[in-house]
Amino acid sequence: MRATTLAAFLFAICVTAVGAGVPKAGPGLSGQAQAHDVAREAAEAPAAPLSETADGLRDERVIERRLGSGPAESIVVTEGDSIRLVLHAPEGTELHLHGYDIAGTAGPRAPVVMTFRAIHVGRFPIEAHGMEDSLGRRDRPIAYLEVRPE
Amino acid sequence: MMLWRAALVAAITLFAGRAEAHAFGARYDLPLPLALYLSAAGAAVAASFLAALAFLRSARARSIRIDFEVPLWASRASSMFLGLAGVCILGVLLGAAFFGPQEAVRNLATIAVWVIWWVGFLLFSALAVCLWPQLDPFRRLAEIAAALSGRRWMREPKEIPAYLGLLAPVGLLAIAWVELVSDWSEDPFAVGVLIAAYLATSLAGGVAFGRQWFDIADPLGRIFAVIGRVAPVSVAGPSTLRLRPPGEGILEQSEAPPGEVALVTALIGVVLFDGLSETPAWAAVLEFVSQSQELRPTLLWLRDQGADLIKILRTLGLATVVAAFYGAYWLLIVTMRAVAKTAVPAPELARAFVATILPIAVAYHLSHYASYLLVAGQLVFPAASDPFGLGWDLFGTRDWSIDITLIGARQIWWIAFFALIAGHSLSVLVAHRRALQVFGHARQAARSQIPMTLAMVGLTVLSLWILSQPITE
Repeated sequence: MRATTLAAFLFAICVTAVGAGVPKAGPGLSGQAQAHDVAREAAEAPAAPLSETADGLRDERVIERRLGSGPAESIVVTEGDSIRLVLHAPEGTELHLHGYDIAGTAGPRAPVVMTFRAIHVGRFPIEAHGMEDSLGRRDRPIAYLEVRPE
Repeated sequence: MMLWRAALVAAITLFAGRAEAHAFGARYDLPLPLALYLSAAGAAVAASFLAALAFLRSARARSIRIDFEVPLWASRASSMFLGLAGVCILGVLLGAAFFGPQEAVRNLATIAVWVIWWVGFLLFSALAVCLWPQLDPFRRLAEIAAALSGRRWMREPKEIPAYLGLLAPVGLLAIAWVELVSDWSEDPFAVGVLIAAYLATSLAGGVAFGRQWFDIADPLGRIFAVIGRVAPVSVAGPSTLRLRPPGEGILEQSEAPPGEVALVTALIGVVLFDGLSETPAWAAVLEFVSQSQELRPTLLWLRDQGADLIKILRTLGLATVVAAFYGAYWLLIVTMRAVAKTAVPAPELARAFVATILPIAVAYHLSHYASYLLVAGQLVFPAASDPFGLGWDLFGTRDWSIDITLIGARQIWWIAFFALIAGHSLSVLVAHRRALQVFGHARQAARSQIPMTLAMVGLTVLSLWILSQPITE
């Protein structure tokens, strides 16, 4: 358990670097608010693949998962893909995707939706804040996003 | 009430970014692909056979090295420069720890200690040249303290009790615990207090036992000394630079200081635990403990006492892995003794061979930390430009941002692939040559290396397996 903030720092930086490459996710706290709005939109209109994306070259991949029970699973995508993650979690759970620094809170019947282009290769935890387990861990990864090189 | 709730929500949101476990050491490395894992393991086995064959053909144990004499003035000047630099760096780090920004990723002390020095400088010491004795500010200040108090600095090894050699493995485990288990490593102020405490201990040890404290008891001195034996360059005398094949330094050592077996096995055990504690296997252990009905009352009781269960489990995990590796090494030595049918006592055999495993451990360490060092290491640029948080911009790097794409997944895979094959081959070769030094007969030496080589294949495959596991917190 070494220092805690490197991750947060790195996210902020890489999001800054990504800039327009990550649609609908601003840096830090504002990104959270936006992700929340996205979640609400998604609840009203169920996620559907978009034919047009930021660069209009690749179709968006929609990946839907129900998280929070059982061991953390890995969601595997390929570098360069446009991704729309639709994540169902218990109400009030805040989900945070490391590396891309996108966060959102699950509402009643509303999943957290994260839309981005997978430009960073690596294995990034999706951490849940607000669910405590019997070991007293309040923040723990409940899934991983694996972006593999092309 | 509403206001209070709003404040609470704000606090939780703020802490959300801060409270991630293990984030200063967060690595986003992809697991080593199965094909690379298997071919590296196969190559390691093949290399072992080749090394054994080559060894049987020409069983020689002559050491290979070239010594360069450096002009005395140049060696004195560089020693003076390194010593002064070490003391200055220590001063700046202490200042940054106590007065700089109290945030691990922005404080020069936490970044310099855990990323640049503990990972980077240690790897440099193993892969290039170990300059810690020249740089070591604790040793320099202790020498001054000894002179000021009128105590002798140059002393004989017999002037220090042998049991103080055990301080080296104990100190190493303490540092590992601080790094891998406690929260202190991420708290600049706590890091400052720990450095100050280490300095006070070193001064007392130096005054009491002279330079022998640093050659026998001082944990950092011992760790760097043993790691530096792998390096291809060494400072062999006051004005001698020695060039040698990597790992050759392991063969140069005739008598190991007390506690050497515990120190080297602990060094490897610590590195293994660091990797193992990020695998799904460790996550499964935690899951099992948290779901277990038998342990539930104990866990709840411990929690009510204010204990941090994760810290307890990680402490147990660290202790178990270190103890298991220590036990496995002794089992190997007992087996080797039986297979070689030798009268050499087991403790002597254990001391003679323990450092030969280091190249594998260094290769694993490099594979595990390459990306971390290159990415998290960049944090030092902004931190060094304004070490005390006073708004300075000493090097014009205050606002440098981090490039997380500096090294790609494929490069890291290839580093791991080649480093482990090279480290394994080197270990096998050095151990074979060590056997020729220890045993009189070439045939006996060759027999002794059957269990050793098998154990090394095991360690290399374990290292590769850890690297092939998806990182799980």
